[in-house]
Amino acid sequence: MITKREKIIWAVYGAALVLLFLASSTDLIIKERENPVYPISVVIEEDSDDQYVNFRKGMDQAAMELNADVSFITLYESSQAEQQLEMLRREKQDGAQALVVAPVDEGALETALEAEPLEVPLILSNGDGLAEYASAEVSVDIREMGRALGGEVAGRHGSGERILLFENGEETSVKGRFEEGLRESLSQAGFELVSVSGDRENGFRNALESLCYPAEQDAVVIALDPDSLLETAELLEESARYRPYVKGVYGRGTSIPVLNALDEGWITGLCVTDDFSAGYLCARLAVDGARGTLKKTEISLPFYYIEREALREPRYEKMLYPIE
Amino acid sequence: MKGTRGRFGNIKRFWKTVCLFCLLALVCAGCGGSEKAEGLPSVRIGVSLYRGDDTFINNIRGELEKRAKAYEQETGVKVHLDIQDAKGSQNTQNNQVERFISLGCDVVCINMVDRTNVSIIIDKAMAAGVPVVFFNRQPVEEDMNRWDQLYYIGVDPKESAVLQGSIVADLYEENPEQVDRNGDGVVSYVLLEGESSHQDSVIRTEWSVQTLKDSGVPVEKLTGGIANWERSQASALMEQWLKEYPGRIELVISNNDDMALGAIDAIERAGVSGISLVGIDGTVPGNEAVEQGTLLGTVASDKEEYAGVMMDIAIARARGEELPEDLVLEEGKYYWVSQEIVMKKEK
Repeated sequence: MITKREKIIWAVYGAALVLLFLASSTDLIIKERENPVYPISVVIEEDSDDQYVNFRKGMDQAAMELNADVSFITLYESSQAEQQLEMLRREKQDGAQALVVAPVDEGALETALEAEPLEVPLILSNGDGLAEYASAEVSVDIREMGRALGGEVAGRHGSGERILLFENGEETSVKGRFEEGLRESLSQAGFELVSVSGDRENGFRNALESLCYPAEQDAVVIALDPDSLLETAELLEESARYRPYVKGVYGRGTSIPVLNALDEGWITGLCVTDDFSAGYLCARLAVDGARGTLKKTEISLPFYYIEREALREPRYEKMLYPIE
Repeated sequence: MKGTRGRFGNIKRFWKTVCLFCLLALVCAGCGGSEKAEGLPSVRIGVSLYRGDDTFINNIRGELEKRAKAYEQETGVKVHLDIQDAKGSQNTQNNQVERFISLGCDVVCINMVDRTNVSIIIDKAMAAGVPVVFFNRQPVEEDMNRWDQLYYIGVDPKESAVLQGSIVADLYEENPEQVDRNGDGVVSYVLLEGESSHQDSVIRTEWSVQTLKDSGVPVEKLTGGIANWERSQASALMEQWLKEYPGRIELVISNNDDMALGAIDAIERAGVSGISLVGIDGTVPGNEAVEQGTLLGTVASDKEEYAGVMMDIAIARARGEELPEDLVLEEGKYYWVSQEIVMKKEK
């Protein structure tokens, strides 16, 4: 027989067990500290992340520190403004709380976003001044970079030298601004500029061949995009016959193959940027955007002109080969 | 009688109350969970690479990304590929898998750092009900048998080695002097081996030499060393061997292309000629070396097939669908990617 006293003890036991269960498994009694994950998406202007290795490292670092879940999106085809816009909308629809974009075409993006805003914070990477539609921007003055490279080339080579401007035919805002600055600076210095659009076999090789035959002539090559720069370096590495006529190879980029080509002497001078910091800052601003604490911000990062010897300098080594 | 029934009635009522209380608690606990927002149809796949700077693994990674994009374009289903580099640390890889699971990955694809240390990953995946597709570095059979949602995709190392051996054997049969450069009737070779803990390394080493012997090529091993699949380590070893065996090395057998390329670097630095080299993997730089004539030949696995099968299994498992009918898995879990010999194309 169970006495009243025993019943009470059992009931107290039962209530205590239930309370303990509720306390440990639910938020009803003890509120567990919330540790929200911030889904952010990064949409770049290219179809591969080859030029974004350090940028991604910086982004991953910020994601780890700030508990962000970063989706890094490359386009199906490079430089497709329409596709980039679709990707941004897709990511927003899929739950991204903030977006980072390296725009293919700022004008097209602005027009599209004016017509139909994304309604989530948008961080611009390498835009041309903080646009209306963007909540924040992390950028390098690409036009100034072009001017500075033009100045370096002008300082090293006589104005009688022909300059071949190699580019892959893909139109992006960044490349456009770089070319503008470069042309401005080199035209002022009196250089003759020849544009060569194409790729390694269809364009660049022919242009280099034309330096050797029928008449021998010298030229300086400046690549407007990192892919063309790397392809030029590869051509020079493979074919010794072009080398006497190419008086210098210049461009921009920070990928490992580009830096290796600089180190091996196939590239003469290079404009580089701190991509790790750019990636870190973009992710950080995006998380601020997702938290609702982002204020309109414009961060300008410096660029540097380096030659082979500078690769061994600790400050560039740290910047170009970041350790996560 | 009445008193007894009354007593039992009280006890029943008491336990009923306790049960109801517990049930209420369970319902409350159920309410504590969060509801996932409805988004686009998508699958999330976490991929962890043992080392992101391995050329072969990078080739596979590139193909995986292409396949994911192609699938998105074909079906409209978003494929979120989260690719992480474990940088040769099993601990880092375990943490990556934990993060993949906590971020809601539907499937994880793992290129193990230490293929004998798989239990932690399998435990975590099993607890979360997340299928695992291992690739390139094969877990031991006991681990693979622990769950029916574990898969392995790789190349048959014996087949790679036999094909590699046959590159040299065929050349020797055609013209022995092309391999036996000093004409002493014996082909003196050095061997560059991958990591000792990798299953492919041991089997490739054994069977490439065995194939040469079986084909009647007289061979003599001068030396060999472990270069851990790395170009730089192979280059250092080869540099040393060229000094130790001047003019005696006729053949370099390498467990992969990267190490063969490292040996080529050392040979070019030393200004030596007349050494034949064979690799395995058919990486982009490896195939380029074959075309340039610095590498005699390599054995290429079909990277498209490799990544394609990985993606097929991952997506089918992620979406809870059956595997494609034309995908035949050995013992329901192993897939061996096809391979072929790559030699310089006649122009």
